[in-house]
Amino acid sequence: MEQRIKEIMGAVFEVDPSTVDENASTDTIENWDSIRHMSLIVALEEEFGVQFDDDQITDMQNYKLVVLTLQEAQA
Amino acid sequence: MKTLIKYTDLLKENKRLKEEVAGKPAFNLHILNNITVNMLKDVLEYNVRLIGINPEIQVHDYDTIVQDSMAMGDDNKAKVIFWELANYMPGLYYKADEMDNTQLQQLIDKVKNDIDLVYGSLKNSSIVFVNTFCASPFAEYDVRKSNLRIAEEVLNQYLDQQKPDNVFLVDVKRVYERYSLEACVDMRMFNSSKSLHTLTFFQGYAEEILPVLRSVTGKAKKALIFDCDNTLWGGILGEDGFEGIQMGEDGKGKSFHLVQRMAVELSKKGIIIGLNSKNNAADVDEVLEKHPDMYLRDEHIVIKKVNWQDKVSNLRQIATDLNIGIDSLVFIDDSNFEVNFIREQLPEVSTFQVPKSAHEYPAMMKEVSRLFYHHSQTKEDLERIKMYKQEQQRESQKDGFGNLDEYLSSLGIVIKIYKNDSSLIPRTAQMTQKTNQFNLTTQRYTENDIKQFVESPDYGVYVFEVSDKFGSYGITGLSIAKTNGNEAEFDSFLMSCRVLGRKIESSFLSYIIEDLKKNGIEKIASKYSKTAKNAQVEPFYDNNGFEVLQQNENEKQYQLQLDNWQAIYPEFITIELAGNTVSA
Repeated sequence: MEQRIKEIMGAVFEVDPSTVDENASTDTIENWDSIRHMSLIVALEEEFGVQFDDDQITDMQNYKLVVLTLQEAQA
Repeated sequence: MKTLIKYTDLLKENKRLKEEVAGKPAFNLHILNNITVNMLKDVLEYNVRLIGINPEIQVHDYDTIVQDSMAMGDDNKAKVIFWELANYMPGLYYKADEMDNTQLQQLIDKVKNDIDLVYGSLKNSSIVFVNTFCASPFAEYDVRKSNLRIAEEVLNQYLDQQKPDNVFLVDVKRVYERYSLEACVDMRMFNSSKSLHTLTFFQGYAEEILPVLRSVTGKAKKALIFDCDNTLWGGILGEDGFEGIQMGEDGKGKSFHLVQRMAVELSKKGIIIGLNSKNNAADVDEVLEKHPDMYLRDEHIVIKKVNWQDKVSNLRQIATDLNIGIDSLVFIDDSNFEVNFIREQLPEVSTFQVPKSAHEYPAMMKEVSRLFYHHSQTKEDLERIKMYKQEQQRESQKDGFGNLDEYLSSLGIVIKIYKNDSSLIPRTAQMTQKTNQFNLTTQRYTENDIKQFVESPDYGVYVFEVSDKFGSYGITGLSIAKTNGNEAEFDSFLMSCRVLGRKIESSFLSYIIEDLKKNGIEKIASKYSKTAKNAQVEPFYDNNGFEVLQQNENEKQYQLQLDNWQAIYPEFITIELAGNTVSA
């Protein structure tokens, strides 16, 4: 799953997926602004067949939280 | 409902396509909005790149539609406007129903006023896509018609009544209908981010405007080529026989009948209809001529390749014979083998396969028709089929003459030149958009652009019409010259390939140079800009006495001194200047 997340983040933020590491966040990735955040949500939901609620959407501000929230949504 | 590309795949494809179209001239598009539509940028970039255009898309700041429109007064770039009624003022989607009639009327009047401002300010834009208002995402639970719905209805009427020629209204309700409101709207981020629409909606939206984008960027298709068996009629002529094939209005051939009717409609709009079929030519001709159930007849068909050659060679030959690019062709066939063969060998051709269930065929044909959409229809479009037929007669007569000049003399060619004639603006713009091969600079212009040239004292817009003893070819070429003191520059020079090979191009060029010289011009600059399609005109200016100043792989720049220059016209061409002209 983590590899797929990195692929998605790479495509959405226009960075090489291999540069997306554990510490990636809205502070370290330049293109990760509020606009691209919505794109990330759309791409994750589509890829993993889940739907996030409003709080989850605002929570996912870094890579670790994306993984955690996604696991939560899939559970 | 069609399967749409996944967002991640779209983004990845977008990156690849970006490289592919990188060298091409930019097509600029501004997105104005009062709602967050950033995913629309990705979706439009993807779709526009797919048709071979290099988009430069700018999403403007949130909720500055009127201000931005007014600030962009003279700008001619294309615009997309997302004006969400429910967000017209903060919280309108719940405040609207608290309004009394006077307040509602005030709101409507304010929106009307803004529409006037936007329409008026953007009058120079090449094309403006404006969405119709739609209350549906906020009116789901209405019992009585809500105020938002009432405003929607009144304002949509107004949008339509006041609409200038360069505005295309996009009916967003059609997208909601096609993909369902549920799939198009996502309320989760409406309050926090003012984002309302889903990716599905934006993809549906792109489908709505793509035919128009194709048309204004010169990417509309020109010829529709059919296979015959199980494509124009049900059954196989060689096996089922003349009596056995089906294309009647009643009975099993109904779908084929409908498809034939649509093909006839396209031919009336100037789309070339052709055949590419493995059959005996005489058998197919007999069906076209005598079968009582045929609706599509010989008179509608411009080109026939009915033989036993492979269909790829036939399609190539069709493009050559018609003098159009291979990417202007659309082909329909029922066979898996043929369709795959062509898709593989000629990916530029849009190839469609007849659906297995006959009842789906007319719907597919409607989808095909969208590729031929022309934003503005001209007289030449409607006459084109007749002209292509005349061209075939000329070609067959050509064989009787040994010497080309002798043949040309027998034609009685007349070139009629129009200068700065405002009635020809639509056709002039259309030629700049559609002409690819005989085109020196391949500048694409809209009607608004041409209008500005025609009205400007610094430009001369020369357009010509060619006729001969077989009839008129219509308006088939143009040149735009920009003047500055005693110097001039050819901004554009192009003509239709229909009139090539008759020494018309150099006669026309001579005429313009003569006219410029009469008006005090002493020196003319010109250039050739290379594209994938215009290699044939590379030596044009060299052959007509211009001197190369500078050249590289993609461009040649020329100049011509007029002090000793003399016009030369072939004896067999008559040049006339149309009345109704304005001198420079």
